[in-house]
Amino acid sequence: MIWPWRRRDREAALDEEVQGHLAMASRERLARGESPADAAYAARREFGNRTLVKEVTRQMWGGLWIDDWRRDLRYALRGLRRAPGFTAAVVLSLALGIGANTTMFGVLDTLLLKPPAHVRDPGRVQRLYLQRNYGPGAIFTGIQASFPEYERLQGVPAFQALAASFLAEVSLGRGADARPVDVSAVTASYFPLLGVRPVLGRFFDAMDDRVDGAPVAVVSWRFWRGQLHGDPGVLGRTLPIGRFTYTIVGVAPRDFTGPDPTGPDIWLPLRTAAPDLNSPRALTSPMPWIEVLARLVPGTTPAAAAAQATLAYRRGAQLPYEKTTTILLRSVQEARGLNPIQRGDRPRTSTDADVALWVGALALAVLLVACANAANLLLARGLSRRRELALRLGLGAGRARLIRQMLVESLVLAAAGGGAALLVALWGGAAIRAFLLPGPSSSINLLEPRLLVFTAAVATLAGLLAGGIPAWHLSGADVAASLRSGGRDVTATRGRLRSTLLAIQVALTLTLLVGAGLFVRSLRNVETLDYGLDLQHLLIADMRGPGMTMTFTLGGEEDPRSALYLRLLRHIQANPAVARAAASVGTPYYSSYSLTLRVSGRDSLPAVASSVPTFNAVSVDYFATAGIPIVRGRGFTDADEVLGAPRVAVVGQTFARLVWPNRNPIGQCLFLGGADSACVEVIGVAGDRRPGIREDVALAYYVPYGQHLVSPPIDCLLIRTRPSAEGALGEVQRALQTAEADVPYVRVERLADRLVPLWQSWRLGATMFAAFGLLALVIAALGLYAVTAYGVAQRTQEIGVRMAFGAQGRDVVRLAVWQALRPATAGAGMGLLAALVLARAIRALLFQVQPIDPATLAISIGLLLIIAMIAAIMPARRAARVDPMAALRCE
Amino acid sequence: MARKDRPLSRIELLQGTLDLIILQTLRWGPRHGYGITQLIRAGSNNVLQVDTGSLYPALHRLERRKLIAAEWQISENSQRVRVYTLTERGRRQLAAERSRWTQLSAAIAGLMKPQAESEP
Repeated sequence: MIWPWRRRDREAALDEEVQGHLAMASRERLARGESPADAAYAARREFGNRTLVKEVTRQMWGGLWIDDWRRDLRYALRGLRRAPGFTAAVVLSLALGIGANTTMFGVLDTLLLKPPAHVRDPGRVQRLYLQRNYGPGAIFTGIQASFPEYERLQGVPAFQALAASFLAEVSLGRGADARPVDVSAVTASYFPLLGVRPVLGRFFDAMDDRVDGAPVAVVSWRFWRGQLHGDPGVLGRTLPIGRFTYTIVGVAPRDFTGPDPTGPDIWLPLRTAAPDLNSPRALTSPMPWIEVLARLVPGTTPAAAAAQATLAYRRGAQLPYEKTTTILLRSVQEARGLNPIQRGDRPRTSTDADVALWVGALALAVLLVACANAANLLLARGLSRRRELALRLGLGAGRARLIRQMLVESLVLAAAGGGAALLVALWGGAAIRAFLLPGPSSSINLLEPRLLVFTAAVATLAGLLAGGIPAWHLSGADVAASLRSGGRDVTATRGRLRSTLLAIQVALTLTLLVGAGLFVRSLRNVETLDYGLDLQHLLIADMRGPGMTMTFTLGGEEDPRSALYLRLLRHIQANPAVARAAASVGTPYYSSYSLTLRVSGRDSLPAVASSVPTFNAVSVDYFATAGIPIVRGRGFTDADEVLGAPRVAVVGQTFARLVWPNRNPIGQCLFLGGADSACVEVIGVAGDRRPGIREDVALAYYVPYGQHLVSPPIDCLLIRTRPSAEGALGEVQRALQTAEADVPYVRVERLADRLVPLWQSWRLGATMFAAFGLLALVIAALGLYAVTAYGVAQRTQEIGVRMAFGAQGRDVVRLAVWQALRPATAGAGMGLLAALVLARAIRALLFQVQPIDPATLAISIGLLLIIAMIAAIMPARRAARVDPMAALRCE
Repeated sequence: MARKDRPLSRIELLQGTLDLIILQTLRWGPRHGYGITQLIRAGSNNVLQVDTGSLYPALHRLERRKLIAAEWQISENSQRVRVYTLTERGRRQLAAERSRWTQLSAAIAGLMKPQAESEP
């Protein structure tokens, strides 16, 4: 094969070879006695047509296709430069379509597809799930295990290595300097199991990872660069976390985040840090809190390893329900898309992963709309060049040749679209990524090879799709008919193809719009749910992590953590920006506690589908602060909050209704923690608080914290600010943070903001469907406009004739609009069917919205048809202004 | 100028036959394009006259298939000429083609004989 850059030399050589041939032939004739003129003439004659000989010889060289492609490329570029409007329209619609896909691929890749960085042979790294069976209908499967459970799994032959980790947000520093950081406490086996090496210093060994070991820490690359200024002498520097001051001994490599897409700032040795991070008894308590990873011995299947692990686990079972616990394994890659914990016997796809996949599918739909639109524009452009195409076909150009040339044109457009798509992904996609990938990983690296390859592949596909359809159609042009008709669109089939492409765009757009409508309505329902408390002006303040250890106390002795909360409570109650404040043991939407409970008047508690009775121990002003109404009896008073006061409780409405139907709950008895405990008298009934979005019923009861009837310490403060107080949140944070010298970082948030993460999947669905739906609508409107404009331009003469015969402008507009609306209406019909199918598929993701929602359907169709009408009327009105004589003279 | 010794009838060469003839010609040593035409003509008693429009494409095709190699040499009258040489691969190809050709011509000869006899 001859590469283009060597072709010039080769041409010269061929010339010389031919010249040599002629020279030798004529010299021989000269030698035979012919005259020089005769000899040269005869040699040339004998040789034949030199140009032709050279031409056929050249064809033997191969690599001609490169020349052809180059020629096509030049031709395409020239043509596109001459039609800037057309080019811009196609590139723009392809850029939007491809950009949507690049963005979504970037997100899905980070979230689900990309193997974890720096992890060796990640397929063999498995996450352990414990399927715990607490009784009929109460099977939970989750990643959390207790430390004794982790130790019991040591020595399973199928596990080459086993490691545990615990992720927590903690306070780095104290008092005014305190700031929150994410730490992960890991066993010494953690880093070797993953196969990662430090870029600086070392990771942990068994000497670090033990109770009362020397406090050491490994920092992430990001933390090292960002917070420690990339100091090369960082080893030996110290980090005050909780009770300890940790010495930095290593820096993890860049982008290392453990097996998950996002990772902590700091790693600490688990056995050393556990008592401080979790509880003094964390290493012996049966409370599940750590996550467990295993690296399988090569050649072992996860199923076999899981069976071995289950066996080892049950052999050492200590609690009754542990004898039925089953260990399940999922690769860390797969586990990214799974719920960390759920009811049921196996881990399921998380809603976030589900929604992200759906959004990926949406992006694909937008791409299809963009391709259909580009195809339509290319078709219209091709049709206006019919005469040229027909002429070339007539002159013997092959059909394949014409198709190739048109494909080159569309591929050039797609390449430009792909390039622009990267910019779309960079700018427009930032919001989407921030949504789907909160945290620092939401920034996109455009030079990431996987992303570039994906974008190039999608662009090529889009180019072939958008160019192939019109190329195939146009190259089949009826030469004679086209030449006779003067290049006007004579065949109905091509009109049909245009209408079909339009209809497809409209159908997909409608589907997206209906999806958007369903999600928006779901989101509205979620946001306007009655959560049972008054979220306005309600703040929550809590401190987590080291120093805030869970110290369970019974019988009145105050633990330091609760004492700190109570001091902060008194401090903040005096603040002028604060109307009321209260302390609480359970954190709304985060944690709740339950106890063995008996009640008077019943042998057993009624079973409620999704709920066991949960309690909360609260300070005196809790109900008023949270905005939970007391519907019967009374709430707690200062007299109740005293150790040794008469034992009292408030129950929730649902609790009262289910436990004592048709009876007065006031005066009934609760027996906390077992049969021999004393009666706790019910003195009031409070309104129900909705525990979550999917869970609507909660069996709740409350006791005064000050009586120490239950052991958990205080978890948070609820603070109701005065409506008049400006910037109350910042003021409360500052006041709490500086109340005492060594307060750990206090997180103060609007309680309503704590709900936002729970709304995430609906917010996401609504935003993405709406964004992509509108994008598709814009592209489809562009397409309708362009096609109508083209149709009108093609029929200028016909319109001229009609108007010459007395047709009114109105009639012409009606004609042109009808031409555009017919495919739009057909598309709307198709879209309606598709939307119904889609709605059934996303039913599980909706909230209190029927999949067939007449209002959503009506609004979507109405919006679509109105936009279609506008897009068609604009060019049609221009057609109506055609001067009949000018139009006729044109020919 | 018209030549008296033109072949009586122009024989259309079978597909691939020209390649075989070229390889066979180059067996006796390197030749340039013009030399090959002369040799073929002489070797076939002026029956086969190779058209340049077939020869040069064939030479370049064989070169691309690496059956022959080309290099520039200076001829006796100090002219640069492109000279073709049979490669080792071409030699093997020639051996294979020649045995096929022998079989083919024997078969065709066998077919022709009885037919010729049955003709009235």
